[in-house]
Amino acid sequence: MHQSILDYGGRRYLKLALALCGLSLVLYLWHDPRSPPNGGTWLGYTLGGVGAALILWLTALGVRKRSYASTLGTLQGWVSAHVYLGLALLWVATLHAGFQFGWNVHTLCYLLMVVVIASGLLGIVLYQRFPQQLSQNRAQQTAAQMLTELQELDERTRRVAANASADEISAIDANIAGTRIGGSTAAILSARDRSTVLLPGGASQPEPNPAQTRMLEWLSARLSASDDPLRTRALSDLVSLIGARRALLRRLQQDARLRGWLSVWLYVHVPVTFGLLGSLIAHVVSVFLYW
Amino acid sequence: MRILLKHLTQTAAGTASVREQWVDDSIITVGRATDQRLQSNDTRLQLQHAELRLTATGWQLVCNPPAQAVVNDKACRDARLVPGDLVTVGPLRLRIEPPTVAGDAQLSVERLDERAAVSAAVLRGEDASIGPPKLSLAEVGWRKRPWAWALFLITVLGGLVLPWTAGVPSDARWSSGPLHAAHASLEGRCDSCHVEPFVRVRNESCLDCHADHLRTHLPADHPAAAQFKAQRCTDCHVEHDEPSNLVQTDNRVCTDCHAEPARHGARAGAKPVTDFALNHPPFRLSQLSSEQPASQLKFTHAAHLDARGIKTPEGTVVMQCADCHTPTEEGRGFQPIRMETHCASCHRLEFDPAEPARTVPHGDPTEVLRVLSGHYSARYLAGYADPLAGRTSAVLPPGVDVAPAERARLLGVARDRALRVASDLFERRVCVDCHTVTRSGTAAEPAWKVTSVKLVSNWMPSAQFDHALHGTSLTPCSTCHKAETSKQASDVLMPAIETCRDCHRGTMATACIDCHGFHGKGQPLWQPATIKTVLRKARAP
Repeated sequence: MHQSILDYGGRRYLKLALALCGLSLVLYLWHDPRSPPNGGTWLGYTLGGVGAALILWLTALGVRKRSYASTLGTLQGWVSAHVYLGLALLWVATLHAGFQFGWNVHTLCYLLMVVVIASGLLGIVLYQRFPQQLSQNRAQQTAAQMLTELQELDERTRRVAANASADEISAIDANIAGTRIGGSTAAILSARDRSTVLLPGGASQPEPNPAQTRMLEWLSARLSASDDPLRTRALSDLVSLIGARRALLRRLQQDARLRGWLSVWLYVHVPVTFGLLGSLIAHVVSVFLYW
Repeated sequence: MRILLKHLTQTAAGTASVREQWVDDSIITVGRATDQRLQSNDTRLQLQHAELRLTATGWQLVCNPPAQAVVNDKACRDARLVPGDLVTVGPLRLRIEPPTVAGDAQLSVERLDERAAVSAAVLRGEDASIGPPKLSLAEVGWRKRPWAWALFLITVLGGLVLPWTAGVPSDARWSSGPLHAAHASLEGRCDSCHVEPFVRVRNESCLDCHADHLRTHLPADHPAAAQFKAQRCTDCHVEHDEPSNLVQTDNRVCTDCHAEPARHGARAGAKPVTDFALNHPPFRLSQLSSEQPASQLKFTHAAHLDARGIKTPEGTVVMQCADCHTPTEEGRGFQPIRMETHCASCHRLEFDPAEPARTVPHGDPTEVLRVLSGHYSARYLAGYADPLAGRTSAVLPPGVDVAPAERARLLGVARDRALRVASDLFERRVCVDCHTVTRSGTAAEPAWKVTSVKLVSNWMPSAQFDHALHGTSLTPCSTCHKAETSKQASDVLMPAIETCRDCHRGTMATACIDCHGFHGKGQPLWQPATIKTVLRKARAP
């Protein structure tokens, strides 16, 4: 039975994170320093230490998830704790700063942390729905299998086209050659189909052919104009084959889009984490360098 | 009835190999289940996907709905097959071969290798330049590791190493907040205070500028003095905070000790203070010395502030407080009351109705007598017709010299006159209006003594009060000082603490430091560094 990482272990890490936030808040409200709250009071140092330890532990997920033989807790438990304690970090670090911000390395560190947490939050949101959509769209096939199927479909289409006429052969070849799915970040994430097709008797330039629409129009027109039964049958087969191709391409694009979104946040989350580690070093060392 | 299965395999080199398998059966099952004759894990197949049945009349394809197969590029569910037909089921491509021996059958089986198929590329056509579509972010050039390293190095180098070693970018970017306005000249010059790396700011850095102005809070022999010696300037004076809090306004700075003064070595009788509004002893006002407990001035505020006005040389005037109490330049307090400045316009020291512009000096009685003698001597010697001198007075025509005997006589008359006028001024008319005057000496040689006046210039020397911050058009002087009804010169018109508490409580609570100094009695906590010390600091390498 599938269990969301958010529900892992009776949400014990959610409770832990809430307890951490609550304790921090109570201490922050109780603590009444003579100067405005800042990272230099005893509570400021304490919250800063907790925050830095959290950052190092959260980063350690990258090591733990590669240690397949590790018995240090289940990976699912780690991810669940990573999510909840990562969100709690935002609260702890804000109280550590005492709501004081400025144009300096300390606030840079805070901002990078916010970017990391925000991208992680995006990841959590995306992972709530997209994996399910991905499985539904794949219908138990891998992307490679879908590509194989597309190849077979194309081979069959070519053979059927060979029974029609030279125009159809040329059009089918042009359609296959002009298919453009994916290929750029925007096209992957928006599932945009930039396919074109250069049709015999059509425009001199390749025409836009998203979702095989132009190709189907062209074939349908030929079909309705055909009075030769054999040719009609071949064209009819081609229409249904291109229809199947259209559905398959759409599934491939959806697959790419969903996989793209499921990974795009990580391309922010991971590199900015390392920027955060660097600025955390700068923050901690500079604070004591100019104590 | 036997069936020969010919398994065709494409080798890496591109040549085909054939493995033959005889099957004693008339049905070839195809599917994902392990009991299927032609088994494949390809998910396009159902568990029992299809059957190829060899009957007396030939091959028959039966698919298990909704499964489909492709026979000669045509999708179908059931079909009669003849040699040469090509049946594609998922990854399997089956071809019906003509039988070599009557009664037997041949079937070639080709498995389309997934990888080979993908690399052969789907959208290839004959155009080799078109590769498989790039459907993942990694394929369109997204990378994590180089960016991770780059960001790590940029933040460590730019945030720490380069500012430390090369000074670029400036170490000002380490400042966690702006300096207090008083330290604005030090902004960006971190090493003014942060002298040694990883060592907290030392007191010496502060004293470079501020040593001249600081006093210790307690005398060196005070029991609690040692406690203060261990304190660091930055324990209280914290920079880089927002809002800036260079001078701590928190009462605990004081009440940590003053709430229980006896426990911290205070003198006997020192009263505890915890809060101005709730627990603060009454104001202790300055007293004149025991020898002179009062000001010795005859004066009432009530008379001067009579709402109907008072008679003055300029007519009837309604006096205002500010007529005498002139604010100092910065408005905190008032200039000292001086007779010449504040009283003399009404209390004129004239003595001769014939010469109303002439006055006696204020201050020294001897000098008064000298001025009067001089005045009347000159008058008489110049032929002053003294109406009171009677017949003995001589009126000389102009230009006629006075004989020495007559001169001496006239001077004697002038002195008598001066003494009479002096007596009048000191004892009846002018001085005595405000001062206590005692007469001594003989009838011939009288002397007068005016008891000197001492006014209190600062009633609360241990506290700072800023009139400029309090005096508005809505707060007349009478709010705190009941001058209109004061009928005694000895009345002290300073407000009691309750008057302050009318406003200074709750949200308007006042902090200890608002009135009291820390670094010395009567001193503000901090005094600005002199230009000299700032310049010295600025010039230092």
